[in-house]
Amino acid sequence: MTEELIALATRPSRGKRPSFCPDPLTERLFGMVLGLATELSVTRQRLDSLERLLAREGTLAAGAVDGYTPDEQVAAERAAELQRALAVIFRPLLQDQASERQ
Amino acid sequence: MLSSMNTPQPYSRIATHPVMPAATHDERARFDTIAQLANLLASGVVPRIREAYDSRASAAFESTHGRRPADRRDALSALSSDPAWISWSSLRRHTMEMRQQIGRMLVLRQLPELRRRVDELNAGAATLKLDPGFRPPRYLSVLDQHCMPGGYLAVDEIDPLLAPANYDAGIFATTGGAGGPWSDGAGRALLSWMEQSPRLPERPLRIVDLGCGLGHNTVPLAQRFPDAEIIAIDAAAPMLEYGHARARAMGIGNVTFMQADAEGTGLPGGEWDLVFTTMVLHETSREAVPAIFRECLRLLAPGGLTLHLEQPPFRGLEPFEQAMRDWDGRYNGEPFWTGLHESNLPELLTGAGFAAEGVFETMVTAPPAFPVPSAAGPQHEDYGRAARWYVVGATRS
Repeated sequence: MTEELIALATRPSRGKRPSFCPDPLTERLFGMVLGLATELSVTRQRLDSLERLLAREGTLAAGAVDGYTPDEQVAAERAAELQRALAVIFRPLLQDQASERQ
Repeated sequence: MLSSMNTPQPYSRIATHPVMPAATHDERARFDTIAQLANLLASGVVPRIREAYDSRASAAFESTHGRRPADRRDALSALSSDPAWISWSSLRRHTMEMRQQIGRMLVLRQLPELRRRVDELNAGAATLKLDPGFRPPRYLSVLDQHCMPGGYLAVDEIDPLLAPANYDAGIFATTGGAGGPWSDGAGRALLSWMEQSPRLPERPLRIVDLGCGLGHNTVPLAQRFPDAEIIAIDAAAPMLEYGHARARAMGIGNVTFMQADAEGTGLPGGEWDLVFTTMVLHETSREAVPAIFRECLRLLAPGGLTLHLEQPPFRGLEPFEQAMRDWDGRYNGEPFWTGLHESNLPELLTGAGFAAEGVFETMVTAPPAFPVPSAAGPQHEDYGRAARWYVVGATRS
């Protein structure tokens, strides 16, 4: 996902955002914990799918994951995915300006 | 704590059609997480708020004000400084916002292809009637409903199809699949009620769906009554474009999607057998509801039926329940949510000119759509997301 699409996806809704926590920093922290939990959950589900598929096919040799080095193309794809995931986790900070807008 | 949890339907059970945004493994996993989070908040956290209210929050209110909380405002005032309510509220709002963000990520990466498919399905169709000069009602243009960036009308989007496509992809997660694979529970619940009702005439029906959105609840009626002429009205052109393409892709040919105002559709009066809304009135305004009811009366043929499906009214609920149900109104971009649920809809129907003896209220339930026990939706109260609804209706004498 490109930076432009990540920014479009992260567009905040109009209107003053309610803040529930007495401290605005805690309000943001709640959102980031939520994002973190979500991305962790997605990773666990993906790992679970992979492990089940690999076990079913019997294709993965021991130590293969530790011995794997991503090439440049893979590294670039991973960086893009990481940017996307971080935009979910740190959404409250990326949308911060809107949260203060009246 | 979680033993009573009623697991949401996995996203893999969603029904798809050719204009539905396709979801990858991780996108499905993300939606499943949203559904599980909502379930956790409803079934795991809400009971703790109730306990906090009973054990400390209402007592704190009483010691400050010298009386028990008397209404939803008192109850909210009691809850709003309690950590249980604060944590739940913050996580709930963040969940709504994150659901929008991840839905937009899903749609944005395939938006040009979705546009191509929608245009292809809609090309030259006489059953899609958009009005380029249409001015949407103010209640739809002034805010972003349910934290949808750009709002229902998809203001300032790179392609306005983003809004309906995101809506279609995400509602299954938001409701935990409670509406069934097609998220058409409200339409199926109305049908299920009508099956047991002798109110409709025995002839090819003429039906108007006011505020059809992308047609989630229009399609089951079109399938049940293939001979019926159905007009699906909405104010948002992108919803109609997407909904028309979706209906076509599902093989539906008897629905005309038309851009118009529910308060004055421009359709001929006195000719329609059924005029209905599903979860629409709370998106309008105090002024709009009586006008919509008057339009329903104008449209209906003698003996015709109007039905309006919503969440139940607040009347008779204790202050805590009312405060919890008021949450969407205050914090989820639904300014008329509470106003609608505090309105006396039967009185508004009679005020619009329906004869009092023809006005009724009932509850409707969608038949289970999944072959597993959790299919009927969450059994705990999720404040507006279960497959059971309130209906107010009237027959035209």
